[in-house]
Amino acid sequence: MDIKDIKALYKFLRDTDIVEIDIEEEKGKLRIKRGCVLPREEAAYAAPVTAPSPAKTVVEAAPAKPDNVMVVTSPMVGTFYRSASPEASPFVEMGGIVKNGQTLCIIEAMKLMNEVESEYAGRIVSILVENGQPVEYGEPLFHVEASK
Amino acid sequence: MQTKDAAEVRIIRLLRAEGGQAVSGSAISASLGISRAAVWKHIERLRLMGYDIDAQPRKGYSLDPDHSRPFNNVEIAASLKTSLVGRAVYYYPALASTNATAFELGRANAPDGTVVIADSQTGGKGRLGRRWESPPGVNLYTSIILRPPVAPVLAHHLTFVAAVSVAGAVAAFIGRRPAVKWPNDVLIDSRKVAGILLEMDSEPDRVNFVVIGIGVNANLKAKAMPSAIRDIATSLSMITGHGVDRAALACALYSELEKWYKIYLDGGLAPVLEAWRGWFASEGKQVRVAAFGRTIDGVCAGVDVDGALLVRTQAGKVERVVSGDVETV
Repeated sequence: MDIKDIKALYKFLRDTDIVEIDIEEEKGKLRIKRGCVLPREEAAYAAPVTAPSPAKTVVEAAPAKPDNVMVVTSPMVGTFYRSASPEASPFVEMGGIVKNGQTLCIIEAMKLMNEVESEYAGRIVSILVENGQPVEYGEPLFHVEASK
Repeated sequence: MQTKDAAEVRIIRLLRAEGGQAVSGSAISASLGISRAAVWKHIERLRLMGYDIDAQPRKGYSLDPDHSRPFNNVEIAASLKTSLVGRAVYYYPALASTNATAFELGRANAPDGTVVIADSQTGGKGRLGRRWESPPGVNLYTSIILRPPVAPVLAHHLTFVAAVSVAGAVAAFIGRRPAVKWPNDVLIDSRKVAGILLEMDSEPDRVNFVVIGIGVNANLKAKAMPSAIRDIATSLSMITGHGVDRAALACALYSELEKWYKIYLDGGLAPVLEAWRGWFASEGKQVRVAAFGRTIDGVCAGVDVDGALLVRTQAGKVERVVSGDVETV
């Protein structure tokens, strides 16, 4: 399996619900994890792809976050909501294009609602927290790939 | 928009001060520093707003002190005893939501303490997109813009400032102590009489403003309530058996809010939380917290220093809750 295959595989996975896959070949092992539930920024950027290694060991080699990928963090401790109400559709979806100033989510702390807005124009490349989950101050919520 | 210094507000104050006696047009004109023709125009506008102003040749204008007071921003601005909260009063017969309008005003640099009032709301909102019943002519729907000099992480303190203010105003108005449900619903006989929802506009390191939205069921009658809330809501008039002057209620609320906001700015959350605990009725009781698909059952162990609800589960673990619906069971 070469880098082209991995890219194709990742592209395929992106359109499915599969969040983790392990592939073992003679040449080595490959693990792809794609997740939205990565509470810490350093945990991963979008989809960490573990490169196949010559030895039969798994090396977790998350690529560095490109410079044009911006992190939107939580301004306060609270609960993360992706929509204005449980029935409403999410403010933004994975892969969605956002404008500067567009609402990305709501953080609630004790009935104080804070609409978090994107400070960047670009594309949502990661949603790092699940709807309804608690978040800490400064916790990364989204990765936005800024438009050039 | 009206302020304490607006001409119509000052005219109402002048006429009220005379307790029904006539004030000449030239006296009003001299006091306000405007022409007699301008005074006449303002009087005409005040009449259209519902003020029963009598005009007699050679005597002047008078306002019957026994006449019922209208509900509008002139009345509120003329009755206010505050210096910050209500320094600018916006009144609308109908709005989608006072919070939404206050938010727009906040973004347009409306000053600290600006208030928005609507006689009715078409999209009155509660937490997480829930509806706040907002028919015309009966209740108080108001939003207050505050610009606290605190970091966004502390802005939820204003939830408790708002809760003690509303509870205090309700208690003063009906002579009965309400209970506060965490964090800020105000209940009488276990039924909701007032709800509060706060929205914030912030930068990473500073709060631009917080909008405190308050809905008080003032003169709503049980039969006018939708069936969905009839068993869980009440109103001040249902408790007292007589009608409530909404302008006076608004002024009482703004006075309490100004008082507690100053206490908060001077002394932090601690004195506010201490007062809040005095209204809080769930401590020591069995509670169930519904928080987005998760349910926590246990005994309420009060609130943490930051206001988070503490629930001791059967396993003996104390859970901290920062958002959710709490019911005593």
